[in-house]
Amino acid sequence: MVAVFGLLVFFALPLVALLVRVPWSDITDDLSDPAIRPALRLSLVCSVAATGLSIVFGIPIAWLLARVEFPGKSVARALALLPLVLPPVVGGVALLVAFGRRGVVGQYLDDWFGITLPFTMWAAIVAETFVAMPFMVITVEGALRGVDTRFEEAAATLGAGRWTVMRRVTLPAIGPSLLAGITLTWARALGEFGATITFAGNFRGETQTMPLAVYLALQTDTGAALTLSLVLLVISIVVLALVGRRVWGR
Amino acid sequence: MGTVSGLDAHVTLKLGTLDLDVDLHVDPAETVVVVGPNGAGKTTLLRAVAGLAPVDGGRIVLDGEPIDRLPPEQRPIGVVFQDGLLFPNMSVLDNVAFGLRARGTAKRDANARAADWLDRVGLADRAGDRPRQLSGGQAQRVALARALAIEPRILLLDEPLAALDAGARVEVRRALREHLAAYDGVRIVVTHDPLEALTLADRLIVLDGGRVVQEGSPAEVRDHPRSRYVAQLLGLNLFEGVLESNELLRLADGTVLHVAVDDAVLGPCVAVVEPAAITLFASAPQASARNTWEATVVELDREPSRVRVRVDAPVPLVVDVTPGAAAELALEPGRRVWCALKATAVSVEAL
Repeated sequence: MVAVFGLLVFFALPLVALLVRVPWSDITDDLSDPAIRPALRLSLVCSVAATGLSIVFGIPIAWLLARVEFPGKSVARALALLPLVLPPVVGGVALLVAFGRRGVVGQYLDDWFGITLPFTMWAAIVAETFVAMPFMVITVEGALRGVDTRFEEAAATLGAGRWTVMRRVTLPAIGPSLLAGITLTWARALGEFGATITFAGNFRGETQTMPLAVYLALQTDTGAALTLSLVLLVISIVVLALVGRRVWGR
Repeated sequence: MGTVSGLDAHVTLKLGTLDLDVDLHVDPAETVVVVGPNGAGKTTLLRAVAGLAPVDGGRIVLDGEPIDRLPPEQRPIGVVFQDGLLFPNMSVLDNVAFGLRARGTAKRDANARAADWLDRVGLADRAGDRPRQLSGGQAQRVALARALAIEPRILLLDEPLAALDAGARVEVRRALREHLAAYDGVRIVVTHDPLEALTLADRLIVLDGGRVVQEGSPAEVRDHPRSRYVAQLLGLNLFEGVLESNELLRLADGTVLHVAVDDAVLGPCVAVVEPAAITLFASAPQASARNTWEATVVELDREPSRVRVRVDAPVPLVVDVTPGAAAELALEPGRRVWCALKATAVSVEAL
């Protein structure tokens, strides 16, 4: 009982402190600060894009890991989940040496296609995807393993091809987990800091997402940093309230 | 249409310890019931025909066209699974319409036909429900409608009664009899249920260790079982008749069987009597048993622990006695004996 209470305090106290210290009198000024709008918009655009990429690539990867036997599968799974345990800044450095202008792949992207990734909005999206997609893979793979494949067989005998089975039987069966995966992925992408600042830099309006803006503001104007933090906190709570009930029950 | 109509299959496959090698011919509008002990390969055989289990060799030909290269979704086959496997996220109507929709029927048309099928299985009023709101028997009737709605040329039923309680079995067995009779494609039923085997089958196939060990009409297989398993599974006395009161069942040939039924559903039914429930006497017995008949021993089948006696009473009966009793009564073909059967030992199921 005491332990539970202690834990609640541990989680709640910092948030309460944040609320207490937010300069409520200056809040309209802080919120209308010209830095905040681009940062907020960029954060939403990049995190949604990263979530979209994670859906497009993460679900097939999860499906492969859950359903298909192939050589080197354990290595593939380890690779797909590595960003979960890798310090984000290391991920950012790795992305930089891979896709940077002189990077292993980046130099050809630059020479052949004239594409430069680093220090652009695309880099922020790539960094967020790199760090957040494992949440999608791990959640969806676990859910796919729990699906009773006999329902898919029943659908096949009724004439449903692989795509119809996936769309009408498999995905609905893992619906809550899918939603959980999307939420976790998006939340991770929204909060991404280390890989983004390393690979995409910190350019206002171009790669400066909310967490970077918070960090920068903290150097100069604590009040603005608190206000920006509050915005992220509110967004997170709203999302949790919207999907939490459906995903985690009650 | 080829020259050979119906299903003509030769399936070989190895799966774990199972080594399946089966020839199977089923005519249109014929019901073949596959029985056999656990692990005999019954379900695997069905899965191979449906395309759900990869075969190592052989061929599967339907109406002269080979179908064994087709993926399951392109085979004209409907399957009813043991526990229904209705899609939990769809309404009952959407479940039945699923196959039609997957095969490209427009939604409105598919829904209309699905509603028609639900009506045929007596569940039109449950169209909007979710599968979890249905009883086991209702769910299995929906599963039957779902499989038949795609108008398959082969209908496979994998132990359709196994997951049901006794009441639901009666309900689903009745639906199966009705709809299998109205369906003119190939029908293959895998079952452990002796009543289902004996009442649905035009032909019985006994599978053991991946091979067909016996094949024939239900009566032939029951009367001349070639294995202990078949003798035990099908060695039942089965009478079809009409229940006239909760004490009296009149068989097709006019013979009266005394029964004791609590909530009688008067009308057509089937009576089942275990061979061990019948007692044999050397002379007319003074017994409490409500059914007593004079009979002639036709055949003895001796096993170490029991003797299976086939007697010609007003109806043919199978009776199990101990070897000691058989010796005391001097049982041999042609011997006159009396049979006694307690009315309470007759179990009656409505058809």
